[in-house]
Amino acid sequence: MAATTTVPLAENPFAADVDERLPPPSTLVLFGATGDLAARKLLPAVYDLLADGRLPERFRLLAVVRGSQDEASFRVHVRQAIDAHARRALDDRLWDALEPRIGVVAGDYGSPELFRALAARLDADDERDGGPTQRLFYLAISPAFFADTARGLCEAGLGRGADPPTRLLIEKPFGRDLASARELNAAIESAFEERQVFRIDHYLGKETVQNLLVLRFGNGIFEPLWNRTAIDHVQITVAEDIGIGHRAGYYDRAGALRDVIQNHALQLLSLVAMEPPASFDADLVRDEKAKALHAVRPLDPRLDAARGQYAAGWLGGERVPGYREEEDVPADSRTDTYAALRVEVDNWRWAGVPFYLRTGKRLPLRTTEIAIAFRPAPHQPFRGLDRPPPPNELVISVQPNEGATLQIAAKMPGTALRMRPVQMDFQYGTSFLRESPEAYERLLHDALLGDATLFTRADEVEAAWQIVEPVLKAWADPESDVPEPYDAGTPGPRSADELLAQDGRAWRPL
Amino acid sequence: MSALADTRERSEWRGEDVGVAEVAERLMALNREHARHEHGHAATRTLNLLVAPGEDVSPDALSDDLRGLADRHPSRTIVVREGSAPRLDALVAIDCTIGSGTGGAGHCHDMALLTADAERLAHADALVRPLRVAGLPTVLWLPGVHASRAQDALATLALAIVIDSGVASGAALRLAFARAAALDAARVRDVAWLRLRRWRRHVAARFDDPAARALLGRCERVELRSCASTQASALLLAGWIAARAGWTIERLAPAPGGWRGAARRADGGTVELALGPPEQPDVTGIHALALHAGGETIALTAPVAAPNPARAFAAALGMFDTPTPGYAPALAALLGGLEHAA
Repeated sequence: MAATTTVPLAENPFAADVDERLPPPSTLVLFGATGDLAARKLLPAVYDLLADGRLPERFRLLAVVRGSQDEASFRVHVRQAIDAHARRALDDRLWDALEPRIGVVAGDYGSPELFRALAARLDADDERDGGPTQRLFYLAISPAFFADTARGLCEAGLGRGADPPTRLLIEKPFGRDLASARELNAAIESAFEERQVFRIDHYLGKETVQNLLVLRFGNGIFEPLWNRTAIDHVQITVAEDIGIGHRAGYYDRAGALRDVIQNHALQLLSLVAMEPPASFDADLVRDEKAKALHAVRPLDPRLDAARGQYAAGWLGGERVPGYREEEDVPADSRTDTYAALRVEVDNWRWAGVPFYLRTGKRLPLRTTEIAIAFRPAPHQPFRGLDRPPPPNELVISVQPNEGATLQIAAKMPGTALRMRPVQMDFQYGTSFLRESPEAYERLLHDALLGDATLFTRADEVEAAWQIVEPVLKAWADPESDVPEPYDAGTPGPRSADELLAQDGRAWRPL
Repeated sequence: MSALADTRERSEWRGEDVGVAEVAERLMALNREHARHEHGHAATRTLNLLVAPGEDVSPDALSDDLRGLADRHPSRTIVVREGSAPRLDALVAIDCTIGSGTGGAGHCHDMALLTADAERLAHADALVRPLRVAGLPTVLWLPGVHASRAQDALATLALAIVIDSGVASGAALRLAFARAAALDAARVRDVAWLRLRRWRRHVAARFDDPAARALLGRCERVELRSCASTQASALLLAGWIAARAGWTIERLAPAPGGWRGAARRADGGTVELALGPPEQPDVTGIHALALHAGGETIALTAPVAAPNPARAFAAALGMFDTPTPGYAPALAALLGGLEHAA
């Protein structure tokens, strides 16, 4: 048959018929590939994405390691990490498909040689495998190396303007105060465009956090009530029952305010407080989150903040040591292991509605939740009640039991008029009897697709540091009071209770 | 950590020659009784699932399917079967799975099995209306190849109709596809089509490349290799590719080891269609797809992913409100060829 020339279809005729697009051909370059985060979260997430058929046909994993680890031993490490931590059982057929896609580049992060070798390896792999791949650089390394690594990548032609396209994925902490965050952002901006930078706050990958947006903007009944007229206050709790483990080196320099409030808790606040975006476009969502953070009234550390440090106590039937008795913690440490803030969002929607944020270690239980406390009914027509019905409360549980509970008052059966709070309960685990993807699966997949909606933008990071900056400064003053001790296994220091008591309120029980 | 495994409990009531009101009352009573026991179970229902099995579906097979289904997709399930006696018999039950481990929540779902004569089945909507959970979406599942007499009446209540063309094979596939086409295509969720989700993503990703798209306009032969149990899905994949490439399938018929046929391209050229068995005998599902034009070939092998055959059905229920825009064109393209072959 004679050859004919055909004009290709302008559009992919199959694209509209799929429920989910596969990412384009990609190489995930993992710095810190032998670290704890990679072993527990990132490598298992890659495997689970593969098992779910969500990786492109041409996908490679390239580990950047220090020292002399070779490909064979790194592959063994990956297999062990998957076996120990992936959601899905290790399947030999899948492993056989993944294993040859795993490569290693070894070198010193501070050496330009490493980045040149990396660039050469990426090009060689692309050429061997039949075409260019987008390159994602995931820095699962100490934040101290973020700026230099970004610069090294850029100098090797893998940053701004790179072809094939590149992205940079980094994880908190993004600085340790406003000045260092600005410095880090500037350093990264000199090497990558902001649209190439994906800052990970893994809370945003959690199903319930995303569901918060659906709850607010996908239901007609909540948004009319989502303001100062109906809401009395909001409580955001990130409670941990564990201590600091072996992380004293990091934690004693950070503390609870930096470790959790500045990022996770303020991200949750921004999602609760933001205005509806015009669409679910990454920048429109992040514009609204940033606006909410910018609307936070400057904090007065004396009136709006409380801190504590856990002392020895009993937790879950076990005696546990105090913070200053933990391995590698100085005996005179002034680090906060508990932090609470009273935050006001100065805009029309939230004027006069306080947001109370708390986080702590060695608290009685592990829970992350957002509690929306509604105002009581303005008039009670019921006579002879022992006490007024409890106000309505919507509690969005982020972990460990993802779901939402609405508390309403109901009449108890009987001839007398008595009311009790009852709960309308929605749990992911019982309403949708299937496993949610891990936060890192979702975030890695979004990064591969280039969807930045669930990633934090530079201006959000800086706005969040700006909020906590006055408190950080006050607490850093050596003349300030030391953090108030609280016994491990109790809900926190008394000063945190007083923070709400001054407003006539109390924390939800832990 | 508890060493207890998940355990199951069932509470049930049976009645012969009953009215629907009584069945509804018994179902409610069972739920009240269950709540009093305070087992810590959550009643889990996200939809009303109506089930109208054809006469080719045995009660045991259906029972097995439903047992597995409840674990993946909680619903109030209402099964409507045909009986020979001129009356309505009913079984209502609550099945609970008691979670293992500290704090492991159990979950329960309830179901009603109605057995009725042909006359009542023709008005099956009246049987199930009082039994549905108000406010939840209703999905109709039609297991089997043969149509139930309740099908049309129940279809009027359903937002989506779940079928599985894959239960048919060989020449019977034409009937299965014709039955699907006779239903409202916008509401049909065909499990055989949903089994292709990964393949469709795979194909769509491959044709992002303009050079690959150019080959569609001069393609001379399409080869698909799949095991015998996924013939329906393989045919739907071929139909989809033809429909979206702008080809008309002119004939398609069973042949030794598979199917053979031909399609006409928009420029008048012919595309040979060859569906055959996989090269390795132990392969399941659709194994390989190749499009040939002159000396060029676009070859795709099965997407790398964990096999999980149960998920396609759960996905069909989970996607009851998600449009499946490629399905109707694929079905129409196939039926054009199958009718001509017949």
